[in-house]
Amino acid sequence: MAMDLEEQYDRIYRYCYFKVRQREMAEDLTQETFLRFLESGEQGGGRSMQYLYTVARNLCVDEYRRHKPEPLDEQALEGDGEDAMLTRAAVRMALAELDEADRELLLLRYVNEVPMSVLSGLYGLSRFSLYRRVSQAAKKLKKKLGEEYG
Amino acid sequence: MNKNLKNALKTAFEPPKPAGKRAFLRALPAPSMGTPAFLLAQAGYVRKWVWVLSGALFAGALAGTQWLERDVLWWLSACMPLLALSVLTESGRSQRWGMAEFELSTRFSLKSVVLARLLILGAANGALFCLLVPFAAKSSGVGLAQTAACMACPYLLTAFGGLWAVRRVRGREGDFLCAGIAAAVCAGSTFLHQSFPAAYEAPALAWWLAALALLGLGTTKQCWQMVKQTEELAWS
Repeated sequence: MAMDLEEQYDRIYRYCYFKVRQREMAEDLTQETFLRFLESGEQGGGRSMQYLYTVARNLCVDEYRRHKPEPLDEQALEGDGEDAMLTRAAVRMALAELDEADRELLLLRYVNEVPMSVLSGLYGLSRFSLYRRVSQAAKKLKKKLGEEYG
Repeated sequence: MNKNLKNALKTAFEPPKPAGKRAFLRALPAPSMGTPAFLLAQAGYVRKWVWVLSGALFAGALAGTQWLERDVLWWLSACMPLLALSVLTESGRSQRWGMAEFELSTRFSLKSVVLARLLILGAANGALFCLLVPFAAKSSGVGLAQTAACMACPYLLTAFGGLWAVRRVRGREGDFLCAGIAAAVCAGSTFLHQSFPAAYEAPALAWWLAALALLGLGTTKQCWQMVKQTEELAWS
């Protein structure tokens, strides 16, 4: 089944932004990822999604080596209601205490909703190991957040 | 993970709005689609009742081969036009709903769409036909060739007449005409069986094969003319 490019664009952009933390850079990397994807002739489905994330991750790693990213900024907190701001601030603080790998897993699994089969291909892990790592990351996050989100 | 936490995570990871998304996606060439993917996509647009009708006719015919014995051949011949009718009604859908001109300007030409649907349904009917022939031949007691010819002739006759009608009469009237042709072919098969039962016996094989060849050629010609007419519509 063909992928919805617009939807995937948002997800890859979110992933790249998470990696490089600069809007322009994240957007350039997203667009480069899609150009490479279209050149590859992939048609859609799980393998294509894995291909997209692999290209995006490699591009981000290259970029990371050139320029280290800035720490998590508060730019996106502006313009929301007070409750949403507080919630987001609490989650962002809890996320900041997790290591990068756990944050990435949480983003991919729960925010970008990447299927486990695609993730296991991306990380080169069995579904069982991956499930355990995702569960551990979620548990750590809940622990940092306390009872409210448990 | 509960829904609240998932939503909180989504907002926490929300990046600033991308600035060049629209322009980038607009500039992207439409991804190419291979023939198998195109056919699969078109198969999804074939209405469910067409598949249900094909399945029901196949199941009924298969049951008939067990109970009707020698009479199965004319019974199957009488059912085949209904199968052809389902293909005909699918081929004229764009015109019936006044969408033909619109579809001509879309990513895939109307010609490709009509051809793909004819191919999909023709192949599906062909597969059912091939599965049925050995059972029918066993029950009727005549050879495989005659059984196949006796079943294919009414199908092709309906397809030939229906395609001819669809090219000349558009809209609902075209569908009614196709249904009339299918009913006439069904009645014709019954009449042939009642009045000339010998037509379904082995000595009549040569006549059936001759009719099959003629109808095969005629139906192919009608398909070709339908495609040509669709091309002409693009320039009118």
